[in-house]
Amino acid sequence: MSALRLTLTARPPARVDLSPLTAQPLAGRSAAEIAALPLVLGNRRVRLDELFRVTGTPGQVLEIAGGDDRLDRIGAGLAGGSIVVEGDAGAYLGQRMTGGSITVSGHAGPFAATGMKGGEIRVAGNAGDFLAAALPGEHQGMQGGLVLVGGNAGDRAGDRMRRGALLISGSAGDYCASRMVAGTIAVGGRVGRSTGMAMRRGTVLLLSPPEHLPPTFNDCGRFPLTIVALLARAWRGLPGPFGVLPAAGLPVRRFMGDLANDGKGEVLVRD
Amino acid sequence: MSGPPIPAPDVAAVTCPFCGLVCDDLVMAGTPDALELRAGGCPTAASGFGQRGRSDGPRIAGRPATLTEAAAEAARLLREARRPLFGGLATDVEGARAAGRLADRTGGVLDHMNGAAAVRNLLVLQDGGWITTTLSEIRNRCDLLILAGGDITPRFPRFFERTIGARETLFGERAACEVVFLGRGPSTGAALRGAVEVIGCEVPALGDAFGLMRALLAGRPVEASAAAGMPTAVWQKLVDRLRAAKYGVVAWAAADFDFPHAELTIQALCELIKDLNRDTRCSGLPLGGSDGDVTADAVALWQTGFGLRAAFGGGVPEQDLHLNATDRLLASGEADVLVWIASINAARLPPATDRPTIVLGHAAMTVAREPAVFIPVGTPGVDHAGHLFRTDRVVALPLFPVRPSTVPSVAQALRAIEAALGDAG
Amino acid sequence: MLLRLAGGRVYDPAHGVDGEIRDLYVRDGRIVAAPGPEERVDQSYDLTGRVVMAGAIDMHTHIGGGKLNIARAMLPEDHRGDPRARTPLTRGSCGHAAPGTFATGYRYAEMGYTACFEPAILPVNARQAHLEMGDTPMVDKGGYAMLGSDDFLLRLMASGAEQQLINDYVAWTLHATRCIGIKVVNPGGISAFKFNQRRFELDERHAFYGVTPRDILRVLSRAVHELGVPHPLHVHSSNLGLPGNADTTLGTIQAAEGLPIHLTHIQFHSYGTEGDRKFSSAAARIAAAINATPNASCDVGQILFGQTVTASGDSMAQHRNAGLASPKKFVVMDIECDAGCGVLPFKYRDTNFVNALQWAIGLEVFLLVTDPWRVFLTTDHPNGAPFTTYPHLIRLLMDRTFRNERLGLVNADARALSTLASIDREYSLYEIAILTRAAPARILGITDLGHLGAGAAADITVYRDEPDRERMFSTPEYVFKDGELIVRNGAVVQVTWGRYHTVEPAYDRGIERRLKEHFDRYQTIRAASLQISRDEMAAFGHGAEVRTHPCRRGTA
Repeated sequence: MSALRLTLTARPPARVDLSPLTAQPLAGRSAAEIAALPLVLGNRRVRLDELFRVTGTPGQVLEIAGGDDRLDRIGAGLAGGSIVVEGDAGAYLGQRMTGGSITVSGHAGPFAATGMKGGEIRVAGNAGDFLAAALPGEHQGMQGGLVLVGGNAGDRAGDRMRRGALLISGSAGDYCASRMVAGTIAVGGRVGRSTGMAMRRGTVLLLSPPEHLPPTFNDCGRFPLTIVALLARAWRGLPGPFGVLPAAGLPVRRFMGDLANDGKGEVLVRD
Repeated sequence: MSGPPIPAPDVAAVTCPFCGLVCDDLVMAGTPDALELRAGGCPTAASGFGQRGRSDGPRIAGRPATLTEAAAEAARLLREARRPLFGGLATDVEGARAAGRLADRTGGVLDHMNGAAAVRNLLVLQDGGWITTTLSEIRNRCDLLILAGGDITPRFPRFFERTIGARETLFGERAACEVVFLGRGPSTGAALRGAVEVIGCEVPALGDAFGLMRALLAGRPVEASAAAGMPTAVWQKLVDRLRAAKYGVVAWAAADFDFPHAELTIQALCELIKDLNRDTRCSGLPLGGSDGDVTADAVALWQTGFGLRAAFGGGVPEQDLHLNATDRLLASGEADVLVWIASINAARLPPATDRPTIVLGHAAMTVAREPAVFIPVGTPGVDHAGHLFRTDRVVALPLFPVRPSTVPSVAQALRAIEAALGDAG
Repeated sequence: MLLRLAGGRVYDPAHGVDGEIRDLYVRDGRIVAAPGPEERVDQSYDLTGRVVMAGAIDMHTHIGGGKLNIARAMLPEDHRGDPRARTPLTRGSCGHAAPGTFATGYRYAEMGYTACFEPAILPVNARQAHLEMGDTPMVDKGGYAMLGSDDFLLRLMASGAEQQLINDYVAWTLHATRCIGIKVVNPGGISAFKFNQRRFELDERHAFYGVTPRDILRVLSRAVHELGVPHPLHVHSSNLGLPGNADTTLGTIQAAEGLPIHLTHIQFHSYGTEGDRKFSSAAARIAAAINATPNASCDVGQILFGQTVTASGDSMAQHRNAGLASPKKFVVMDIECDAGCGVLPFKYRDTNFVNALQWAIGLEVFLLVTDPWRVFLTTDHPNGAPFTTYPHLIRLLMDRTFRNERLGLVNADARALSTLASIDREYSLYEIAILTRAAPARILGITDLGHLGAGAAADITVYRDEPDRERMFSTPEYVFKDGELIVRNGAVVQVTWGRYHTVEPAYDRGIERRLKEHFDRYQTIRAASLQISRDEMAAFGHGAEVRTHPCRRGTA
C-alpha cells in the first residue's frame, strides 16, 4: 500500500495546524503538491516541506514521523484511510473525523477526538484533558466511533460526549464524563473527583472504585452482569483490560445520576 | 442649542477605575499632587489613587530612552516575533482598541491578567448561558442575596453599600435583605443590615451543592445526606428560601472559584438559577471587571467576534480558551514576545519569562527584572480620560483625569509602536 | 474634483425617477446638478447598462450594544465557521449571525448598504452601543433609545405626570444617548417580568405601577410627536411570537390614537390561532390595517431558514422562548431598572410548520401592504436572519417563480395554510429602491440620504442588471460613500467610517434636577455618567461627524 511519510525535521517554534493535510483526500495529489501545502506557523505561512521531509506516495496511509505535541489537528475531518503518528500528537487530534483510523505511538494533546463522528483513534500513551469532549460553545463531543487510550487520560474525558465508545486503559482525571449526553466510557484505572457531574445519559464503566461521585448519584445496588457482557463481546480482542473482560460480564454496582439533570446516566463500578 | 452639560473633570464627582464596580461618586480634594479621598472611598480606591509614579521616562534594557526610541525597539521585537502575546491588558476601552489593532496587525494573541477567572464565566456563557442582573436592580429589588464562594468585599469593597445597603428603594423602604454567604463570612465593617447567615461549606465542592439543590428543587429522590460538607437539610432550606424570594440574587466572583474546572461549578449554579425562574425570579451576578478585564473582553468581542484568548496568527481571529492562556503560552515557550499592559495597578507585574518583554506599566511599577522595553503609562481616570466597563458588562463609564500628567496613555503608547512598525509591519 | 457617473439607469424614487438613463455628478462628496459645459470632469465611470441607486439604508438592524456582544460571546461556533481574514486594508473579524463590527461594516458596504440603524439602545448601555457602531466601518449609523420599561418613566406615569414632563424626559434621553429615535419594546413588559409577570396584555395593569402597555404607547407616541422627532415611535409590540398576537398588534396601532407609529418586525406580531395547530397567518388582516392607517408603517422582520441568533430587549418573550434555543443555551438579563435583554441562538427550519409559516407570513406582509413607503425591508438582523440574506429576500420579492419554487420546498401543512402562492405581486426595482433607500431616509428625517438629487450625500450603489436579483444585489459593481469609491465588485477597496445621525429636540432643563435626584437616590451611577458627549462620539467613531437633524414641532 502506498504511504506518504512526513518526517518532522525540527521541533516547530510554534504550534502548527495540520488540518490542511486532511481537508481533502490525500490520494490523487502529488507529493510536490503536498510539499507545497501552506501551513500557518505562528503569524507566518510556511510550506509544509519547510517543516517536514516528504517521502513516499500519497495514498491511503499517512505517516508522521518525529511527532510533536505542537502538531495540532492531525487527522481533522478524516473520512477514510489511516494516519500513523510516530511520537506525540498535539491538540485536536482527529477533530470531527468521520472514518478511517489514527494511531499515535506517543501521547496526544488536549481535545483529541473532539466532535469525532466515526472511525477509530488509538493512542498508545496518554491523552490530554478534554479527550472526546466538545469545544467550548459546541454541543458535540465525540459522536461516534471508537477511541482507545493505552495510558491515562486527563481531566474532563468524555465531556458532552454523545455517542461512541471511549476506552481508557489507565486512569482518568477529574470530572470524567462531565455533562455526558450518551455513549460509553470505560476506565481501567482510577478516576478523579466528580465523575459524571451533570451527566444526562450514557454509561461509564469503572474497574476501580471512584474517588468521589457527586451527591446527586444514587446507589442502585448490584446490577446484572449482562450489560457488561454485551460490552465485553463488543470489545473482545482490543488491547488493554477491556479486550479481556470475562465473556459472562462482571459484577458491578450501579449508580444513577446526575439527578441535577434527568438522572438517566449510569456509573457502573466493578464490585 | 440646548442640551445636557458635557461631563467635565471634577474632583467632586470622580469615577474610580480600581475595581469592577467603577463607582462614580467619589469626592476628592486637595492639590493635584496631593489629592485626598473625602467621600465614596474604599481601601482599594485609596491605594489605587495613592500610587505615585516615578518621573522617569521609557527605558530600553534599563537605559533611558524617548517614547519614539522605545516604540521603535518594541516594534523591532514585534516584527521578529512569531507569536507575540499581548497580555495584562489592564487598560481602558481606548487601550483595548489599540491592543486589538496591534494584535491583528502582528498576528498576536490577546489575553488578560485576570483571564483565568474571566474564562470560567465565559465557558458557562458559551456552553449554557445564564440569567443575570445588574447592580441597580439588586439595589432596588433584591430580597435574598447569596454570595457563592463567600464574602466578595475584599475584591469589591463597596458592593454591599452600593446595593442592598440602601434603605430607600424605588418600591419603598427596604425590608431587610437576607444575606447568605456560601464559604467565607463577611469581613467586619461590611455594610450589612438584617439577617446574615454563613454556610461554611467547602467552596471547591459547591458544584455538588448546586447540583443537589437542582435535584431538590425538581423533587427528585436524592439519597445523599450531605454536599460540600453541609447536610442536605441545609441545602433544602436554601432552596426553599430561593423559591420563596421574589427577587433572589446569587453573586459570585469567578476569581474566588480558583480551582480547576470551576466553570462546571458556575454552570451548575446558573442552571439552578434557570430552574428557579420557572416559577419565581432569581438572577445571577457574575462579579469581575477589575483591572479592565470586562473591558478588554468586550472590545475584542465586538471588533472580531472573539474576546479574550483570541489569536490572529493565521490572519483570522481564532479563540482558544485553553491553549491561548498566558501562563501556558509562556511556559511552553510558544509566545516569543510578551507585551505586558498594566496601567491600573502597579503591583500587577509581568510574569517571569525568558522571552523579550515589553512593559507598558503603571509609572509606579517596579519590575524585578528589567524588561527589554519599559514604557511608563498613565492610569485612565487618574492621568487621562477613558472608559471602563463595569462588572455587569452593561455600563461603560467615562473616566476623567484628576491630575495633570505627562505620561502617555496605553492607547498612545501602542499607537506609537504601531507607527514605528511602519508600512512593512 | 468632479466625478461623473455616466449613462446608468437611475432609480431615485424620492424624485420619481424610475429607471431613466441619466448622468450623475459628484463634487466634494455631494451629488451636484449637471455642470456647465465649461467645467472639467476629473473622472468618469461609464455605467451603461448598470442600475444606479442611492446607497441602501437598513433602518432596523441590531449591529451594536450589549445584547449583540452577549451573542458574540455565546457563539464561538458561529464565528469558527465564518472567518474574515485581514487584508492590508481591512481588519480580521468573523461571525455569521453575530459578526464582529468590522465584518459587519465591510459586509454591509459590500452589499451596497451605506447606513445602518441600531434599533434597541438601552440608555444605560448607549455608550457601548455607540462604541460598537464607532468601530463599524464603511456605513453611517444611528440608533433608537429604548424607553417604556424604565422605572423613571413608569414612576412618572404612575404619579400622573403631565405629558410635558414626559416629553422633557424623552428629549433628555435623546440628547443623553445621542440617538435619532425612540423605541419601545413590549411596553412595560420588561419591567413587569422583573415582577414575575409572564405575559403582559395591551390593557393589563403593571403589577406595581398600575399602568398598561396602551398607556405607555399613548404617552410615548405623543412625546415623540410633540417633540417633533421625525421618526415615529418605533414599536416592538406586546406578545411577540404568541399565536393570536395579531389582535394585540391591531390594538397597538389604535393605541397611537392617530399619531405616527412604526411597528417593527411585524411578521413576529401577525399570528392568528386558526387551524389544527392553533397557529395561522394573520398577515392579511395586519396588512389591511396598515393600508387603512396612513399614520402607521412597519418593517417586516422576515425570517429566512438557517442558523441565527435572536437578540432582543424583550426579556419576557425571550425567557418564554428559551426552551426553543438551538443550540440549547440562552441569556436573559434584567438591566439597571432601565430595561432588559434576552439572547438565544435559533435555527429556522423549512421543515418545521411554525418556521415555514413565519416565512410565508413575512412575505405575505411584504406583498399585501400596498404602499411601499410604509413597509421596510428587514430581517430584524439577526433575529429573523443575518443581514447578509437581504439579496435572497429581494429575489423572493421580485421573482414570483422563484418564490413559488421556494414555497414548494417548505413544510406542506404550512404551505396549505398560506395564501402566498395566490399572490402574484412582484416588486419592481423602483419599489425596492423605495423600501431600501427613499423610504428609510424619509421616515428617519434624514434629508440628504436615500436619494440622488443635488445636495444628497454621494452614497451611490451601482449594480449589474442581472436577471438573478439575488446575484445582482449580492455584489454591486461599485459602491460610493460620500463620493469615494469604497467597494468594487463586491470587495472593499477603501475604508471609511461614515457618520452618526442624531436628533436633539429642545426641552425644559428642569427635568435634569429630577433625573439627578432619581439617579442619586435609586441608581448606581450618576445621571451625568449616562450622558454621552459629542467629543466622546467623535472619538468612538474614528473622527466620524455627528450630524444632528432638525426636529419639527408637532401639534400639541
